[in-house]
Amino acid sequence: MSQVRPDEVSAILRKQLSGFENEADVYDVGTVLEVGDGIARVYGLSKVQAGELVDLPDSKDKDGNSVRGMVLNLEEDNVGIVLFGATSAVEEGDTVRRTKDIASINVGDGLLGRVIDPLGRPLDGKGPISGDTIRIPLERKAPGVIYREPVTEPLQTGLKAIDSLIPIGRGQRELIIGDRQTGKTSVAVDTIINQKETQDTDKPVHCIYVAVGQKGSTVAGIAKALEDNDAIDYSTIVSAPASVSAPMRFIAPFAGAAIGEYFRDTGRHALVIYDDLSKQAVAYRELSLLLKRPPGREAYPGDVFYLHSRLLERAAKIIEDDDIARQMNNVPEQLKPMLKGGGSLTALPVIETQAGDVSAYIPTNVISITDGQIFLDTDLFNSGVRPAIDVGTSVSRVGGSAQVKSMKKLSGTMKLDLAQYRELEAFAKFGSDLDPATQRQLKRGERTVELLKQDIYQPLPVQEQIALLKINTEGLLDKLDVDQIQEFEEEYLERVNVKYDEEMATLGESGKLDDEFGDKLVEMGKSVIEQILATEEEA
Amino acid sequence: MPITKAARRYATALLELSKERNEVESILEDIKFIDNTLDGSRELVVFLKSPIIKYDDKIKVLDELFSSDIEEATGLFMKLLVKKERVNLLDQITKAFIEKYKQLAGIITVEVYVAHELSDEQRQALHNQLEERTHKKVDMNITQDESLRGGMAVRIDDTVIDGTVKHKLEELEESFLATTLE
Repeated sequence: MSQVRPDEVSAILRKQLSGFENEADVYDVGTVLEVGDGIARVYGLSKVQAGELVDLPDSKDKDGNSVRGMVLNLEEDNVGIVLFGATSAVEEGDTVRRTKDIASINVGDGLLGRVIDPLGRPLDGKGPISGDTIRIPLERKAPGVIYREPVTEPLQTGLKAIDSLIPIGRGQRELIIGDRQTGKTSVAVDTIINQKETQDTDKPVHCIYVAVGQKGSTVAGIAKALEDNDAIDYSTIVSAPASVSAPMRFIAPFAGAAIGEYFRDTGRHALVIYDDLSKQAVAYRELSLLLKRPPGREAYPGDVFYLHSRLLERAAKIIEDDDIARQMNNVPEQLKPMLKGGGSLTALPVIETQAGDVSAYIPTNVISITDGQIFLDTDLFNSGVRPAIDVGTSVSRVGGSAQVKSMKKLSGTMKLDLAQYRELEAFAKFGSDLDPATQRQLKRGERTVELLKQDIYQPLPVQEQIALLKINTEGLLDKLDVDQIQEFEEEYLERVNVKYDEEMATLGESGKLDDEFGDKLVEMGKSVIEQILATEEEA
Repeated sequence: MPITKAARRYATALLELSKERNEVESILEDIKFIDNTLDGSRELVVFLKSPIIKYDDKIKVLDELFSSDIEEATGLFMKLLVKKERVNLLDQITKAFIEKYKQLAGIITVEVYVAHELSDEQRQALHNQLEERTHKKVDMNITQDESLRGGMAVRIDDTVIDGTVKHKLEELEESFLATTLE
């Protein structure tokens, strides 16, 4: 029978023990006074810092790991800590030990393709995080004004309605807001899937999806969707489902931001989705009330605005100049040698409203923090307009300057079309009694709305979007019935991609649509429309 | 059990009063005497804490127990506590008073945890070392605990200097667990 030789065993043991010093260990301790609901009050720990991680070596959970906690309240005669593990394992009188480590997460390129919890522990059963990692604190001050740049590069979501009308730039913070079941998460996931396009370029976008208080099945569904669409390789999922304790849900977005910052500060591009921040606010409210912090509006604590503003401020476009970027503020020691300029962190926070009420506390807060919002409407969703984006109330305050040139030109007229259509929509039921100009505008609007519909998990590359919008702007679609638009889109895009393979690739790269190619596209559109009309007559 | 704010305030007041009257030492003796009595008799603590018993009865009992052995000021102080319905804090107040006195006199209490009984020489050596390190008068409180296996741990305020075999073994276990993950 084969076995490891005894001398080999002792050699390995000796190696392991070699670093073991016979010196007394010095640490600070406290004692648990009371515990309950994920909160413990501790007597002692007189030198502890706010936000510091503490260890409870006496309190072992069922796996034999000691429970950890984070210090949130420093009071006159006790310390309030939140527990990350099983509260039931902690008893009165247990020892609490300082770790002298502010709550942090290990980040590195090895996180891509993984599902982790907010403390960086893998949840997908694929073993430990591979490669080098560095430790970054969860709470970090956002970069100062000197180290930032205006948003100039586009972040393509692959959704026609967003890329044309509410464009998003790299480094922007765009809120996705709407009632439950309006497709907020789908918009976010589509955006992640569309970043596959960027992976072959020199500026790939790494994605982080933070699930806060979601159903476990939803998170699994998203992981599956990303895997099926080959999007998991450049994405990280930070999972804090509804089953985990409030402290975990509270820190999850900060963990996502810390991972995003690692890419941002090393000169790369990242996209982080916080799905959703209303549940994080609820988790924070739970903690604050248990810690006996005074409640304010809707029982949220007074600093719930700061909770979200400091998180979203961390999304930024970093200045291109490496020398300036290297002097950035509040950079963890380990990250300093890796600093590079030109990176960005784009944030897409998600907020769930109740019955379309955007004037509730958390929605108004986050609307005012972000650079615009994508408003998803239940009525639109139910009437079949998907993505259910309400173009009237959705805005992007900074994305315009990052939009692809030709797209900007084409979407300008489209915005006008849609605005006029919405004004006249109420008269649509009068039908043929209306004057021809009004009828024309109604017709155009209907077709534009139809054209902006898009199936889930099917993002379109920017050149295809431009090609489609060109046809719409030229008014060619007016000849078709509304229910033929879908058919036209498929046929047209297929033919264009086959015939003008090279031109489309150039258009995608440069974003410039010259007149010559524009005319060719219009010709192609005309012929497809004629073909559709002809087959209809035959039938 | 931590000491409440109210207990601290009464203790501070008593200490101030004793300084005024130049009776710090004698009142400290009284308080230590009361503290020991309370530690020794759970019944008395429960009796004092009971909200049902009228304060006249509490005064009578306290009088009978202590009045012959303590200073007048201490006796009056206890009567005041009973009247103010704070006598339930008496055990905490005595502890707080001793703590405050030690602070005043520059004495610190150091908890020492050992696995085996210390010899007198060891005890003396440790005491000297601690006084040298902390530059304060040290009051040692030695606890013997077999589960530590060997070595000793010293706790000054909230800081523990841990040199016990038990802690070493725990650290070793952790380092083994950490390396198997890689």
